[in-house]
Amino acid sequence: MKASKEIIFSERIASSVSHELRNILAVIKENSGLLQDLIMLGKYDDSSGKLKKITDTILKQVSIGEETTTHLNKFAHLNDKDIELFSCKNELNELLGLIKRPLKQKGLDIVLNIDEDIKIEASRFFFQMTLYFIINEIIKLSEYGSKLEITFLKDKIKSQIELKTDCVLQIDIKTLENSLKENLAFMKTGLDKKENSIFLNTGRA
Amino acid sequence: MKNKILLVDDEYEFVQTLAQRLKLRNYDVNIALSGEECLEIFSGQNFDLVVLDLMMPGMSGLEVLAGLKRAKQSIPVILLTGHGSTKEGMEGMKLGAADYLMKPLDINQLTDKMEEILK
Repeated sequence: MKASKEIIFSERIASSVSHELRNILAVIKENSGLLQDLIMLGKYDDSSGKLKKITDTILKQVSIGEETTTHLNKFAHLNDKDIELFSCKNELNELLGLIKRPLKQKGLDIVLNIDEDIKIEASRFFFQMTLYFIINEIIKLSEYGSKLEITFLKDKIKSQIELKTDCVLQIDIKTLENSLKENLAFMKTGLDKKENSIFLNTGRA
Repeated sequence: MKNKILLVDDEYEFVQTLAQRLKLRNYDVNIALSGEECLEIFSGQNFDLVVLDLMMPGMSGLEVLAGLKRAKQSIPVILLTGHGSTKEGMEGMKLGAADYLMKPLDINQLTDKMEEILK
């Protein structure tokens, strides 16, 4: 299943915007850095430390912006290959980097139990998209300040990603599976639900 | 004696500020706002190192790199890229660039690399 023109268009725009943002951040960072240089050289009186505090704040935000544009740019390149072997840990971390804002707005406490990675051969784009829609359902149904625990489960036969919340998950798993039918069929995976957990079956690489 | 650096980037606010910061760190710095201007300035003076943006209107960074190497094979060139992927940087390395860095820059990282190359 190749990426549609709509997806490719969106990715190209994301790539272009992230590039533009990097250049803007570069100008801000250099100017803040110059101000700090001049303060250190005693060109400005900053005995109160206020100027340094301002430049520190600016540089901190630039750093956050930098991280965000890196995530955006990686997102823009998800369809560079239709199918590849990839690390679920990396892709999950990238997705969580992209959806920081909605997670923060719900005050979700994310706990990751993903030390032992799962590697699968699939489409990175459709993998992230599937995870996104599952997490999005959980966000919609969670109360403010809930916990979302993501665990990689592996045994000799299968591997799964468990998404567990401390809220009651009133999700009809069949409806969710149906809405992600094409993705799941393409990745040859499926979903399961048990109490407050949704499981994405990832098979084995 | 100060090391003589040529900074090449079409983004004036960026390259002008970077030049000021490098001057404060005791480098002799010239700037060029395009590939064409870079090659013109480069042909008339002796530089120890060039810092070159990869994505510029008109002549691309890689075309400029090729031009610099034709003029003086041994000139070290550090490439700058605002693009998130490392593909262009790696391409530049194959064409003889000494290294590449992502924007936004860390000035200390840049000067460390410059010193390493200029040693």
